[in-house]
Amino acid sequence: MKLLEIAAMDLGGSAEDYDCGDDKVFATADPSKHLTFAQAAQRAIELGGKYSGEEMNEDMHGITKASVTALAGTGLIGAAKDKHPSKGLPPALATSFIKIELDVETGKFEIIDYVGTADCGTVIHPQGLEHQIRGGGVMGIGMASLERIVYDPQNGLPANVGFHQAKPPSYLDVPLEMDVGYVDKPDPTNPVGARGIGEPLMGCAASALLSAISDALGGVYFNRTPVVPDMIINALAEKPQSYKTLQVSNQ
Amino acid sequence: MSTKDMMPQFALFQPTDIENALDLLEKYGERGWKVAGGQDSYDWFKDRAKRPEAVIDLGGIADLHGIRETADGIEIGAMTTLSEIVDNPMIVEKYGVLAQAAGRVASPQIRNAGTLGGNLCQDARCWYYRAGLDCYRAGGNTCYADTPEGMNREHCLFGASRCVAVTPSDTAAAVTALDAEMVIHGPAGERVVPAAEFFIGPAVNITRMTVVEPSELLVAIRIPSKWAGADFYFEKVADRNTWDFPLVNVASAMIMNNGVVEDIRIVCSGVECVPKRITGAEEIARGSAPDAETADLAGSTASRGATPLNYNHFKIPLMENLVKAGDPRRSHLGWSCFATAAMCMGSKPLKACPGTYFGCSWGLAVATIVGHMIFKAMTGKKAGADS
Repeated sequence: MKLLEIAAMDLGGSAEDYDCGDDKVFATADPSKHLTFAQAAQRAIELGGKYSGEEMNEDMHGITKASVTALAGTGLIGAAKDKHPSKGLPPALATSFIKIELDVETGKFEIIDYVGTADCGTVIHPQGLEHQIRGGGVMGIGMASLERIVYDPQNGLPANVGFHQAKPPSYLDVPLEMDVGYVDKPDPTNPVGARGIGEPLMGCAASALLSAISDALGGVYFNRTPVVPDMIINALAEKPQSYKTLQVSNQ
Repeated sequence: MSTKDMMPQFALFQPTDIENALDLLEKYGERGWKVAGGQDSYDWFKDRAKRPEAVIDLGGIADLHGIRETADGIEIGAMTTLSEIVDNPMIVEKYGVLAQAAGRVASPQIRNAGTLGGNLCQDARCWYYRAGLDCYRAGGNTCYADTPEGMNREHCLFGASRCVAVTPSDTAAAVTALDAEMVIHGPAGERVVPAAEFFIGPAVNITRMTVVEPSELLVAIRIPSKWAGADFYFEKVADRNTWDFPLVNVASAMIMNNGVVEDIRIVCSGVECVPKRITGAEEIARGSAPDAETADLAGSTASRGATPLNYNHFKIPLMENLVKAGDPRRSHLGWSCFATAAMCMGSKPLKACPGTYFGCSWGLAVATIVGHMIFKAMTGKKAGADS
């Protein structure tokens, strides 16, 4: 609106006679009558007031006001408050259960049981929901035990530059059967009673797996992810770990 | 070095007999490149880390294919695919360790295309070398992996000589355990090299993994009947259960006589640039009963002489455990349940029933770590050494 007003001020007519497009504000009847956005912004700085952010609506949040004040005079500035109605913050509640068998000689484990459940609101597409619950579990298993970010800190080189080295889980790294459950109770804050699902299962599957590994090791906590075979082998052999405390790049 | 989408340009030759292939290899020398299944080669080309002028595809040479029974054992053409080896009844029955090792290579699709010769001759998987850096192995004058900051979890325990890369091959351990012989053709004719001498370390030639010269061709692998039907064992430990190289693997073959071990071979890959025969453990086992005591003693000597790098000392206990082949598996069943309530602000941890733990965390991004910590707090167990 401010762009159109500036164009009308400079080129004649009223704001309704103008439109924007192709980095320009132009007269609808004669597009050759135009200002570029850069020219309009320059005019906004000269005009000051509401055009360059020197003045603004009073109903805005304090942080927005501070931002507009900091930017005032640098160009054409627009700021408005979102007044669309909204209520509620639907929680994404989910649980995961994982049972593993850990080989104390190789540091490898097999997930022999997984159950994921979701308090997902109204179930709209049961098959899709089940896939989300299983898929979230697979991502959580990868997060907890496989997927690594490795950098050489001296040379700034990334070591895992492809799927092969980044190691997302394969079919053989996840349980053969993954059981699912859901609550199917409508969420009152959503028009159709549904809630988001998928990612919540990732967090709790990862937690369940890490806890299962710690339990199998008799209470060894690594306090980092992923927990990979060399960490488990070192823990079992009572050898020091190779990684350093707070080292982000895993070995 | 990121993989480019396009294959770079090269001259492609598709000979249909060994003589023709040898002529091409002699003509192009260091500028030529032999392609078997292509599972290693094409990565190199696409990454621009290797730029051969001529690529010689061996896929059309019928003489390099097939598994044949000979007067003393079997002969496997170098271009026989890993899947064919896994499915071959004669190999499964008499030389099972090779079928097992081939069956643990990469993934089914790669085993369908990848060949035994290619798997044995594949280049080092050191990620610095693969990135196309100017390391010793690539003809430069430094090693990026063997530095105080080098990420060398997958690298060697033994035989370092400027380069610390390991053999990544699963089948190399198996053919070494079976005392295989490698049939190599070259301009000077045929030569037969025992597996133990076929693989070479950086002290011998830092730019190659095998004795095969650029002008030569590995044509077949002969497995003698000595180990036919022996007690075999193969185990591979990798991060993933498919499409991954071994951290350490072990292949062994054992012949029993009157309740004692008459002869044995134990070979590990992933610990040295060549498949490492664990001769100390073999000597302990020979003449002893194959019981837990022998296995423990043999295992405890397996890593003698190991020189770990910054990130790979875990390979020492892993190798010792793997060499205890035949020892009853000691598994520990651990189980745990955990629940998080992502985005459920301000909830408190709660315990639902004995043995089942519920907790709430403050948002998805921290669900894993926080959830784990609550579990720790509730079980009252001390954290690990790194806490």
